[in-house]
Amino acid sequence: MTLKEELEVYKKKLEDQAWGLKKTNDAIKLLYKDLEEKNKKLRELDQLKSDFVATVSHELRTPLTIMKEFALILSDEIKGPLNKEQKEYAQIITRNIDRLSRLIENLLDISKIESGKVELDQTLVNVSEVAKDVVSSLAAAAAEKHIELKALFPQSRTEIYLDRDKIVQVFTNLIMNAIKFTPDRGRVSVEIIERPEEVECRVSDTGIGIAPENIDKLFAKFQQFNRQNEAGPEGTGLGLAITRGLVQMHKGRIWAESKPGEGSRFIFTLPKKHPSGENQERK
Amino acid sequence: MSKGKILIVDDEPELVKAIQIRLESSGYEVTVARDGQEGLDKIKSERPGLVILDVMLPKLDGYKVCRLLKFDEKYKNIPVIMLTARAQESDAKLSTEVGADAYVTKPFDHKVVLSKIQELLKT
Repeated sequence: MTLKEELEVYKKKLEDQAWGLKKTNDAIKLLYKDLEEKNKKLRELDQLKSDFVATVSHELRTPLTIMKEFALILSDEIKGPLNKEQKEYAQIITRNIDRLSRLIENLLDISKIESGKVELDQTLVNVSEVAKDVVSSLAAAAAEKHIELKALFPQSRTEIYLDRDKIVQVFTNLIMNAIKFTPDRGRVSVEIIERPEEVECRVSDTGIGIAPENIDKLFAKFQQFNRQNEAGPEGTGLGLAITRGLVQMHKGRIWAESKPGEGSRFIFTLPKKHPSGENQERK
Repeated sequence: MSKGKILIVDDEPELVKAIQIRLESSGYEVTVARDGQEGLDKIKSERPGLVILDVMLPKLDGYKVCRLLKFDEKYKNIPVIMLTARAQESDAKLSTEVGADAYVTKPFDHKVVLSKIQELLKT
């Protein structure tokens, strides 16, 4: 084969390959377009689902209020005395309406978080003060179970941009969970560790712990574990999903560590950097 | 003796009844309107000491009723408690903007409503 002939062969081969690549490229483009469309549809469906949950939740509130008010009118004996059993039944109705209300509130919260409708009202907040406030507000709940609830951190002057109410909700959810899943006379502690880039908050307990296979599922919706020992008001299965959503909205991370039988620790971080990129921490 | 007359403007008759029972058992006199227009008429004819006003009302919504009331020299001193079914910040803001003296979110607790009434009627 002469050099020219050889080159011709290579040229032909290259042309074939180019044609093949173009075909593949076209196919990828088509697939990509298809994926994009499917993605858009999924987002629309997700939005529809969130709107639906929000609407339904609103519509449920009025009848729930009416039911609760009349159950209370009965149990408060405004229209005449009840016997012991009748009173107890009216209270059972009230308690379960409260449970349903909590579920609705949580559904509303999670649907707002998932649809990105929650706006953060950020101001400069001292995280250690927030944690201390929540710890003292939950002292009574801990004392009821003779649980030692302690804030193990020094008062810090560091302030970062946060939505205070949302972070209160995060601490409240985690500490209430810890109290709920810790047997009487156990310990729950809150720690705050300051790092150059972020503040790390830990809520630890000496409770029943979480099985390793359940750790990853903890933050998913409607996942409840180890509830067999629990006597208090039942959870909604949405608390940790909401908590994670609120932390992530602040560009933080949240995870859990646990040894079954020894206790659990929930850790979340809050970056000191404002989402805009500037370091807005003030000391 | 009645502690004062309260007008409830709400189109949910059973909810109205529940509030009415509570208020009456606490010593208030209660009068009721089913829509925004009737609410305005009754404010003028019955001169209540306080108005409990639902947001979502037929004919004239609660915000409009409140705004009309608060712009009228004759009636602007009547305290208004808005009842809102939405626990959204925007509702709280709107209630303040139209001049409501307080707002309560559904599902409300009658104790909250009663304490707001006591607070508003004191001054």
